[in-house]
Amino acid sequence: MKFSSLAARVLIALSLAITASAQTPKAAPKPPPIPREPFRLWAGDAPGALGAEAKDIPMLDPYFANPAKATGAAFIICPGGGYAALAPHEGRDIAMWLNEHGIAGFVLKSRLAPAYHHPAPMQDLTRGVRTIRARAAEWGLDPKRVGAFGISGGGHLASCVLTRFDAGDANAADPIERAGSRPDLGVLCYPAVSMGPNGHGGSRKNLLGDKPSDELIKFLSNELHVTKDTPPCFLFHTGEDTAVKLENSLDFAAALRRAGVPFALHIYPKGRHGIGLGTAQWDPEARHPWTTQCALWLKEQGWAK
Amino acid sequence: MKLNVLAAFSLLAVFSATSFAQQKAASKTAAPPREAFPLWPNGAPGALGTADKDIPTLTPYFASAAKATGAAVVICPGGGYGGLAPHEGSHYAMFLNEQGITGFVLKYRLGSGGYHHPAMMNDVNRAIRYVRANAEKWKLDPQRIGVMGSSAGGHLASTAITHFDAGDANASDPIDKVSSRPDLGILCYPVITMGELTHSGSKKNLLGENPDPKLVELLSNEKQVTKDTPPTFIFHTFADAGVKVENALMFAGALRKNGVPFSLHIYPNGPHGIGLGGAQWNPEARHPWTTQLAVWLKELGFAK
Repeated sequence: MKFSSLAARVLIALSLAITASAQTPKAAPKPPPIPREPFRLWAGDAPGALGAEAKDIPMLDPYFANPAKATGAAFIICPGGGYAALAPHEGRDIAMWLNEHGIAGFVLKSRLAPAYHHPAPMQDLTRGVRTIRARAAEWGLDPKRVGAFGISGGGHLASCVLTRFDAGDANAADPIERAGSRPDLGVLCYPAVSMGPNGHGGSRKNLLGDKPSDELIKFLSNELHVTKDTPPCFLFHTGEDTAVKLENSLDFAAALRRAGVPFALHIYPKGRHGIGLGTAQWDPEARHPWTTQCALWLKEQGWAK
Repeated sequence: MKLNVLAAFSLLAVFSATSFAQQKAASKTAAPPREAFPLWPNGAPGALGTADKDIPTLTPYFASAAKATGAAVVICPGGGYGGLAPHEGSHYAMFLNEQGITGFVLKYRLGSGGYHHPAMMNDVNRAIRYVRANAEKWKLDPQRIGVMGSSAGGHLASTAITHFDAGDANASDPIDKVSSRPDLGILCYPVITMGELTHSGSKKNLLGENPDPKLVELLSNEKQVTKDTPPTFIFHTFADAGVKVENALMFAGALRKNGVPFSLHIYPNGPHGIGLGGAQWNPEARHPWTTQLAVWLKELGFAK
């Protein structure tokens, strides 16, 4: 797993070098100032940090698109795992798939249960969006094309930030805090959206603990918080999903419609929960049809070439 | 009555004979359209006359023998129950032929011809029975007969998958003996409800002015879904200014509540009446929903 991610990076680095040398045969090219390793979201402790171990440090793992293909758009990716784990095939694989379409992917390593509950994950994602936006120019990205991509439990997290964001604090000392946290697009794959009766029990327990108040459940049932300012969304779900009920996507789509927010919604009868791009192992030959529909949508939005 | 049955049978014999001849001849391309035939040889029930508008017909498009899977779909074109759009009829049939599926384009009776409910429903129910009753002769599978409709034709198709019966075992007409339940439904930007979010032109043509609220309820098909409604494919666009996307969402919600599997594809862009991608036949310019439909038809064993 580490190896394939390393291999992907080496490949990207190689192709960068080749592209660069082809363009400027004279001088040795300066490597672009982009991060190649996971980096911390806060230089110091994250707000509410319980310690300084790996589990206490939210990070972004960057996957930049090949410059020859890059469109300048980026997604922050929230992998599934019910707020207690982060599934690689719903993180790194998504980033590599986005790279194929010229889009940069940043896999969010958010803080998890059992140590962390709400609002830590939401703080991490919010900070992640601000970070990419604040440093977009430096990294060759477009600050107006920074999206949130969430899967399963990560879909709940993404839908939190698709419905709750701010313009940033112009007076903040930290330049990252000055950037807005509104994602410009949302992609939700078999997302847990609700914390109500149709919600995913595991995600609810991990995010809110054993006995959350009705107010908190309502507050984090994101189908109740869609407004006209929620960005356009792409939703994918399967009818057979026995872990996260299809109602989560249907209800979110209905809320988007009521708010006048355009969306793409693709529901397939078959397919198990956690299907990712089609397989748990990276296999570009065995992609689920939702991926072609998503690529078309990203093109239509001007994010993919 | 005896004579009717005889007439129907001899008609069928002619059709099946030409069908085989044609399937032999046509190997390279999809079968060209063949003659339309009336659903009732001696006039439809409730017919107001004998003009073309009074005679519901099916126009068959048989899949080439080399490709045919045995599955068939009855196609209800759109047109607000006041017209029938060719690109939502013959084009769909030709698209289905590409997948090895035989298409039958239904010419149903219309509001513009003086008809209201239940004429249209009777026509589509009869069409399903007709194909099923003749399936064996036509080398079709009586258990793989679907219905497809666009816009108001989507209302009619959604009526067919929510208002059907097992047939009347005691009927003298062999067609009336078989079931009118489609084995699957395909709804493209369908009118579903006759309620608040309906398409008012379709409603007026179907139900007339000031319809009885009970009739409105009966034909608000999102309220008529049961566990026996067959698996359904739905395509709609968010931007559709003719028929609101809520129609598709409501029907999907009802299917879900009743445990009926479905495939739902909503795209943000695209005008009402987009058909396969445009009003002109152009296999190079298909909308992506068509690939999703092809995948689904394969999954259900209708396409190869």
